[in-house]
Amino acid sequence: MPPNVAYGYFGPLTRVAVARWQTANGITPAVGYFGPISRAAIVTETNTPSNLSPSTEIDTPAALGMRANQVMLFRAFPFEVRSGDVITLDGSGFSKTINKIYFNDSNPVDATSTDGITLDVRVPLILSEGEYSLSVSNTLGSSNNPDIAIAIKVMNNPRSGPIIENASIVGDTVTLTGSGFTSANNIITTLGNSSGPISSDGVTLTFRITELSMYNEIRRFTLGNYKVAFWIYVENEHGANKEPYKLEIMI
Amino acid sequence: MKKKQFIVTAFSLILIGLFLPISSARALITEDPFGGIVSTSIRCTCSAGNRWIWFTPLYLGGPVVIAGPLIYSSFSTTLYADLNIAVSGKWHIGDYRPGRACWIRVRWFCLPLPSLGLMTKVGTN
Repeated sequence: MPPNVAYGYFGPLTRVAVARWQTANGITPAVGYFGPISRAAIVTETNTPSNLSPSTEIDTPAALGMRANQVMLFRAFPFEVRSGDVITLDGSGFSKTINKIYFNDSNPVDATSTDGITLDVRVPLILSEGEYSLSVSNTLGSSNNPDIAIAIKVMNNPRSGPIIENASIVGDTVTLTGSGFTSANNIITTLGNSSGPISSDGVTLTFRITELSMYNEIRRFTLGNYKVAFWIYVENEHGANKEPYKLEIMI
Repeated sequence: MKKKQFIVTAFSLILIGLFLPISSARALITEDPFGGIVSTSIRCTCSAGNRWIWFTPLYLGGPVVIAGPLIYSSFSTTLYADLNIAVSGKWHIGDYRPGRACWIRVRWFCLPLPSLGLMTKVGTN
């Protein structure tokens, strides 16, 4: 095989090339095989910023697994707020230098993100009571999406969304205790959603995992033999718990 | 005499293990291996292009074999032959990075659907 052609095989030519690179980078012994010492050297090399090239830090970092060239908005937390409150937006492609956040396509507020995936924004004082659709604009464009409307509700007496403080499971029945549950709650879990709203007395909420939308589909494969991380959200008209409650179960 | 030789050999092996250069390299790598068979999958309705895939069994290299979901992203997961991603009954093997990557539509917002992480590379049979 001629040199300088990428065949995808590790032959004598590749071995010589690797040995040359090892020698150039002070790796001994320079035997031409890529082992842990060479791996450590290349990891260090790629993590060390070069003094010769300009900064390549991205102004709009993307969230894990999202498109790098698109600004996206997933959630505003909390859902119910007073004007003047600070809300946290979750998304992707937020700018570290300038973003404009719109409330019903008006009343823009400027904000910066430190990580590209969260933004803290103060709700404008001039907003009157009502529901507001949010969007974020920056150099990548706008997060406006006709299929996904991310909203908050501005009101004088906002209520906290659901908070799960504890969860227990007996048989196939899960009992949640906490606050912010209402007469119509939806359950969203690793095993699917509840088939309809579930009522609560406000502090306890009970549902059966066998009635979750994906339980039967998954159980068909697991047959009761596997440990599963069962993560739970409760959602109602006041919002949803920000982080899932986690239980380990066998299904 | 043999007992002494055994102790010296065992002690030497422990010392070699402690100072293997791989330990410093591993500390910088944040990806973990996985392997398993696909049971079912759903589309991530807010993060278009991503798929939530349930594996039974799911091998993560630990002592316990579990079942659970990982995320495939058409934007950032490198897919290898035979390209049968998310096909029920197919073996998948690759690396994943812990973190949230599948968001699903719920009324006025999207929620991160629980998963173990995002596949960074995956090959299938």
